[in-house]
Amino acid sequence: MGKLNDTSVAAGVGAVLNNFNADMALVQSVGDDHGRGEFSLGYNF
Amino acid sequence: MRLGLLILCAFAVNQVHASRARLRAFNQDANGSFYVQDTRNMFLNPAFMSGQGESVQLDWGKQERTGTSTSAEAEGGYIQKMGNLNMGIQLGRVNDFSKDIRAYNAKLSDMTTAVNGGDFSEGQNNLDILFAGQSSMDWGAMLSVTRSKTATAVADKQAEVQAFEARGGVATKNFDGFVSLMLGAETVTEGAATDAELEQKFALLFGGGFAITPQQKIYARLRYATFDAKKKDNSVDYDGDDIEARIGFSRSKNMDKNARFFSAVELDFQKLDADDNKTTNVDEKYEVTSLPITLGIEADANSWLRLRGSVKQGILLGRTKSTAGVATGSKKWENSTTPQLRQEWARC
Repeated sequence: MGKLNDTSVAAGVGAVLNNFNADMALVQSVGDDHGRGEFSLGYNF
Repeated sequence: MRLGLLILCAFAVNQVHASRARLRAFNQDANGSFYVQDTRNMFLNPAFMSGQGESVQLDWGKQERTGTSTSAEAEGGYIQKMGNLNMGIQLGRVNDFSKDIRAYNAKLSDMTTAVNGGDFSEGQNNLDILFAGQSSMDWGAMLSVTRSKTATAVADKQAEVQAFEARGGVATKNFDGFVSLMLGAETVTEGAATDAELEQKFALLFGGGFAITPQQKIYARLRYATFDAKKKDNSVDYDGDDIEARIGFSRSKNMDKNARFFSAVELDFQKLDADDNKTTNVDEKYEVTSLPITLGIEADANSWLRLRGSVKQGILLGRTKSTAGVATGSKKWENSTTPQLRQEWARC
């Protein structure tokens, strides 16, 4: 588990192609080396 | 959706750039932000679904839990227009009760394994049904249902989870507010020797925001819950309550026509108090006070590509106390670097 004053940094990118959108994010909590990734895909009618 | 666009026009989002990954990139709760405009804010206040276009969204990422779990967490849903109404369905979202189960599993030491669902299983097929519309103001309602029965690793044993939560909200040009009530929540996991049972008897959450200017907003939320957690062999019998309070201020700014910057500061207080009625066991207390600040930026690289990033860190008031590591029934409090209840930023 992390400490109280962990610094959490995150970065992401989003792209659009026609009605599709894709997003990706990487998050890292520096204090406890706890990282995660996210990926999202959407379609707008 | 006129509310959000008016309040945070400087940080408004084209709907095609809206997702759990986007909120994560801003260090926001995946179930909605008070100040970053995103379609997923409808899970915080269902009124924000009003006026949204029809869409399908799929999200995948590492499980939202402290510790070393590498399990994936997937969800998805769609929004459909029905005349003047919007209807939404979401499958697999991690709702408040699922988060509570994770927190209680991690913090109630007498429940033995006490990590990653070791005792209280989570629901396996969460469902959210939302409706939203517009009259004199935007309004919305959401019913969240968890109901599953799954086999455990022990032969002929199963875990049963059910929870029902109702949430409603309204939004105007300068104000938004919501309230949520847990209508009943229970998880029972059968074990080889005995069964573990968690019942959330009551949980009330309400909150909202007020736009001081189109770029500045204050917001707050308060949640209170009571629960029983016990083993049926009568060896553990927790009686607990759980409080979360947060107040914050955010500000957004156009850096130029292709980039937006936001900053926010919050005062966050969380407390969990669980008394084990068995005198030989340990009562558990956790208290966290923090003042995290968040800085974020989103920029258009070109017409189809956006880059975003953020940093979040507690400052000045960081304090945490717990009974973790106390080996007897004493309620002695110790300063600790380990306890975290549901700090969204630290959990990322």
